Amino acid sequence: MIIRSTQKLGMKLFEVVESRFSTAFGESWNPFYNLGALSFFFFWIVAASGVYLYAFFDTSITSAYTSVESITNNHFYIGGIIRGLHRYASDAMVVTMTIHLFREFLMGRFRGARWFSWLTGVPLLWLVFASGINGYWLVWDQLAQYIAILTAEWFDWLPFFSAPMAQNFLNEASLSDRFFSLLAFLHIGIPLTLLLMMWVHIQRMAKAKSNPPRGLALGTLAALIILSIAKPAVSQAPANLDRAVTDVQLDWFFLNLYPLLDTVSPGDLWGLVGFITLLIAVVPWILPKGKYSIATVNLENCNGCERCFIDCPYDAVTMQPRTDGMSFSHEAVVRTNLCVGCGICVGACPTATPFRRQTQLVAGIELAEFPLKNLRNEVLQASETLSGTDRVMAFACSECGKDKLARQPGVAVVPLPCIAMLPPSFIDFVISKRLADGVFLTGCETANCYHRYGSQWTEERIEGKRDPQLRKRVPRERVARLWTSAVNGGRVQQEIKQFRSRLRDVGPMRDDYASMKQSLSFVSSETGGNIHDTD
Amino acid sequence: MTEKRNFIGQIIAYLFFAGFLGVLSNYPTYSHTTADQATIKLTMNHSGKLKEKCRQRSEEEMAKLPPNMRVSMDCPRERSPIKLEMIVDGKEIYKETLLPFGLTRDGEATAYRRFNIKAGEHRVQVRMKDDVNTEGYDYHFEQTLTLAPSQVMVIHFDNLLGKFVAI
Repeated sequence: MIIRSTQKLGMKLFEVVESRFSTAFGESWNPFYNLGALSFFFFWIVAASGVYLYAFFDTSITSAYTSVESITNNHFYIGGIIRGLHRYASDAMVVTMTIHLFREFLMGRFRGARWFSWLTGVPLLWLVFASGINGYWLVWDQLAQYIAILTAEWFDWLPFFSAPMAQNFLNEASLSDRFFSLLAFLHIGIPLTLLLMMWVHIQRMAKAKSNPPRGLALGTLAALIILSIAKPAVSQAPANLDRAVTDVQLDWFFLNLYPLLDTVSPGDLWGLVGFITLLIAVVPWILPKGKYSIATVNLENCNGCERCFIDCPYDAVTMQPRTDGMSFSHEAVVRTNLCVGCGICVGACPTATPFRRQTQLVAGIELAEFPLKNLRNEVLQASETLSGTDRVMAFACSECGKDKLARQPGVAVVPLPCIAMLPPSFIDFVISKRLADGVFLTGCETANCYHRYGSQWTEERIEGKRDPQLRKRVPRERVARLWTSAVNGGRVQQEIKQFRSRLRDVGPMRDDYASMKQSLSFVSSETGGNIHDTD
Repeated sequence: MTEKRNFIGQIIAYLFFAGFLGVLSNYPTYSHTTADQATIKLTMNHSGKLKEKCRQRSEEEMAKLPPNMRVSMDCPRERSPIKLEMIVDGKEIYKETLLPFGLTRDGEATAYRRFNIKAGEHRVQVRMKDDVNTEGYDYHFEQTLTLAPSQVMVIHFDNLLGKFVAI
């Protein structure tokens, strides 16, 4: 309960800040909606600048410092800027990665099949910090000396080493080139492992965004270049193991835990970071999972059209050769361990139409515990609460939209796991059967959809750019949609008010309610004579 | 669909981000030790004496062993733990019993400890015991050290010389 409240409060704070950023950047460029992609982008900046630095870096202990100084000061401006980019892009990656972690936690994007992305993100934390900290050693200045000694002392607490690693840094005479070469090798090996794990991290995300929008990328790169010029990354005094380090300029993004080693024992620090790591790792299993229904394929209604396969944001639907002898070449198969129950596949299915007369309403793919028949019944029930000439049937995403629509007369709300679960034929159904005067759709901002592509797919289906499309006969003035975050409840109310006003201007529907009832007789007979029956 | 953008707002956001990175990447400065302090590092890698002496196996013991392992002498490999302590100006600042490395405790015992003390003249004593079968300490180091501010003094057990040396 406390965690849920914290998540809600935290998310509201995020949404307040994010809405400001959406005003400045637009939704698609909003940095908060591109945190993962920005982290990838920063990695590539670090990698590219690292290649340049490594080409001129001398891995010997006696020349490391002077070679870095030479790169910084003797390569015209380019060496210093590239060094600055290498450092500040690393820092930026820590920032975006940390915000990404908090945001995904607050949004509950670790539940169900999303555990994989969550869990594979945990080693990324270690690998990013290991890469950065290891990099600071190579400069071999006072900061490197400080880090080298404290890191070695910290690791020596572990019972793996036959001799203390810190003995490599006793004094100037004890340091060897071999050990330093090992550090340089690690500074390539760890980031390569990081890249591999970043690839694994996004494996269960269909159409994962690993590149930020070009405008955002260019703006961020420009900011880093300006920072590298305004505040160049420079070395501190050369390391001298015969002298103790007193004051150091720490990079607090990477080295924030190091001062703790002056007050707590290495064992305690291992306990702290181990506990935090474990706590993050087990989040998907210790927090309430939430209820969701897995998609199931009804083979007799599946024609193998692949729309569910194309639209699923989690790669939970695959296609395989037909197994039931029907004339279609393929059939859809749900990988239940990947399904999060968003229902986007249902919205994509061409057989998911509420107009069925001859057969029972069973679509080719459905959510097991929220079949399409139930959705149609909910729509019918909701319509009965409406009256007047500006009746609105609102379909809302449960994750972000349900709370935005405060109950008000003349508006019926039908919540969905994701707005893209709604087949466009339902909009046609509501209007052509006179169940409401207008249909209002609301879901997350398109660049920040809880189920990744729900708002975008819905928008494209209504615009006729994606199958299944909303039929042309549906009067567009009777359909409104709004993609916005939960924090913008006031804006939703405003939009609904304007929409109802527009509906009143458009005028009443031509048919009366009685004829609508008559036209719904097929529904009534299918549900055993009672349209309220939800099976 | 063209999105509305406020480029002034973007520039402010980028500058804030760059400023945030620039500041926290360098400041505030952290004081690891104060300028009037010196450092002593006490270190050693040393194998203690064997804990038990070799002994002759009895006929019964030999008979119980597999034929390929019937060696008449039984020489346990476990080594003595090492007791190490350091006293500065008459005050004990470190005392520890160090276990030999390895599953059968037959490797070296190792130590590395760093102490920050006020610069100046100090009487430093180090004692080490590496045999559980004897009384008292086996190795002694006692010296008056004059430490300059920020100086790092290493007191190391040299296995070849068989004694502690200050470097």
